[in-house]
Amino acid sequence: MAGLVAAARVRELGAQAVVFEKGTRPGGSMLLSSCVIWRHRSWDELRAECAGGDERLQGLVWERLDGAIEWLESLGAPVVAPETGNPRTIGKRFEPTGLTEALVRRAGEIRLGAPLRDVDGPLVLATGGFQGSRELVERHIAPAAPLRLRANPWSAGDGLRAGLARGAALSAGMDEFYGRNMPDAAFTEAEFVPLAQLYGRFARAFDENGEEFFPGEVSWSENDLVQATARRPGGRAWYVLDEAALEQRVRERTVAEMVALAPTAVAPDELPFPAPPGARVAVRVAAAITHTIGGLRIDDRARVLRQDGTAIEGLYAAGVDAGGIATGGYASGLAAALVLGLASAEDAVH
Amino acid sequence: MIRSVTQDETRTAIESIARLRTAERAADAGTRSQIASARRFLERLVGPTVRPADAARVLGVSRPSLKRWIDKGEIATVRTPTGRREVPVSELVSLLEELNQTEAREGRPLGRVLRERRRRAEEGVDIDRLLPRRRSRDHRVPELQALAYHRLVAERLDEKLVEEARERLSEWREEGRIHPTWEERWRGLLAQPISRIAEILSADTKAARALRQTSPFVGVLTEHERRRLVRAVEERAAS
Repeated sequence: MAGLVAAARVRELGAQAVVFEKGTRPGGSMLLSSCVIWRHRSWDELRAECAGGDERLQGLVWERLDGAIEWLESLGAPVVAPETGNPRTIGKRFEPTGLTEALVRRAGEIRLGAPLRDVDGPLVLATGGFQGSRELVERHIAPAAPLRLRANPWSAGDGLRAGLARGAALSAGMDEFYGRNMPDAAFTEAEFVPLAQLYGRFARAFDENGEEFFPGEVSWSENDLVQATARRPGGRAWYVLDEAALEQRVRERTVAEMVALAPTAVAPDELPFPAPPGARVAVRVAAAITHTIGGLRIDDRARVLRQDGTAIEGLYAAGVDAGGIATGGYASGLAAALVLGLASAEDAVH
Repeated sequence: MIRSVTQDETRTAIESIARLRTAERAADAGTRSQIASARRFLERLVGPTVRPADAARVLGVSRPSLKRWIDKGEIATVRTPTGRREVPVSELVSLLEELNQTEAREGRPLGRVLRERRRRAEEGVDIDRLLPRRRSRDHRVPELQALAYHRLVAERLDEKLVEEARERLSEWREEGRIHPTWEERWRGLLAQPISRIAEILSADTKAARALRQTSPFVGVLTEHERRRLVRAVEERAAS
């Protein structure tokens, strides 16, 4: 998304842009997401939740997002929900195909199947993170690797490598990621959203050895539980549910309905350890990575920085390639893609 | 709708909305809610914005004149989902209401209304009065803008504004534009006496800051006033 946004904004400002898209289609991981673009309602809450993140970058995204969403709407991107459905956040839910089309119409030339390469003039790195590279995940997010991939396959650290080759520094939180616990079975792109087992807050979570590993309160995004799951043996967990848990609702579905879709649901007596009292059903889940949270260090003009804090001339990073925004917690990756895409374009043109 | 609204009908509807709004202000509570439902019907019929050509007809000015005022920022425009610049109906209605009051006089009435509006906005917005004296690191610019906006609303708060806010909450609920949690909080507040509502609108607390992020008091200030306020806070933050 960040690359398309940057190109659309560059052209709106009267300059030229070319998008090199490694994949077979534009839209990156945004196209596969539930496409809610949001910020925390309260600045204090964002700071409390993502305490390890760069405050200036957080401020940039938080302050510019509402205007940036209006800009997206002005391009004709279809809104499917004018509100996020979460009282802690403010934003809108777009229709991902329509949003991609609206951006593609404005982005100008898009070369599909064309990986990142050296170009003359300013370059915006927007390759979507390094979750698609087993090697990079193993190096930075260990001991979590290997994780199931819940993202497009092309975001494999091309931006990170290109930035490092030009002397870039890494951001904080290189070992953190955003993801969901998915059924521990094969799933397709179309199942990324509907199969997400987003009810860990109602379940008791055990690892393969029967150890209950997350006794505290799960955060609303459940990203803390997912990262903890990634660090258990095999990156797996068992969600054990009682009758009351099955009746809970998450958005428009009950937990029972979500469990019914999971191919790895079993009766309690099939668990590899003694079932806790009251258990009705258990689901074997595996941590799946949607995008990395660490990446290249940037400033609030999206310029890639060296270790000494100076900016690398003409090099920008936007979206997931830019790290250190949601460190310690979780904030909308699409919001960072949108705002940093705009910011990089504006700085590059001026 | 079985057919689209014609240009003449748009003009008549907007003129009617302006007259109904004026009538609402003078009416008692029961009559007011009846007039309001007729007004809202017309507002839905016309939609949120009109093209500049229609706006010029409604205001009785030439298109080049209108464009001049738009370029100078005297008349607000917004970008529609199709990327066109259009004039918000709320802007036209507030201008028409003021025009109706000055109509009897001679000269170029719209120019005078706009001049008057500029003068009022410049006098009315004393930004230092609307912001906390000491700016702490925790204050983000949009939070300060919302605070200044609501402090100005609080100064003008009356039963009618509260009732309009309640109506807006109902509309937003129907359209799914507000989370039920925040709708409930606002309803709870709007059931309080005016002095208490004004106090919370003006409060510089965490809870009030979160509440103001989704506020049914949008559109209480004119677009001109709002933009001036937003700019003034930005300028103060930058200095």
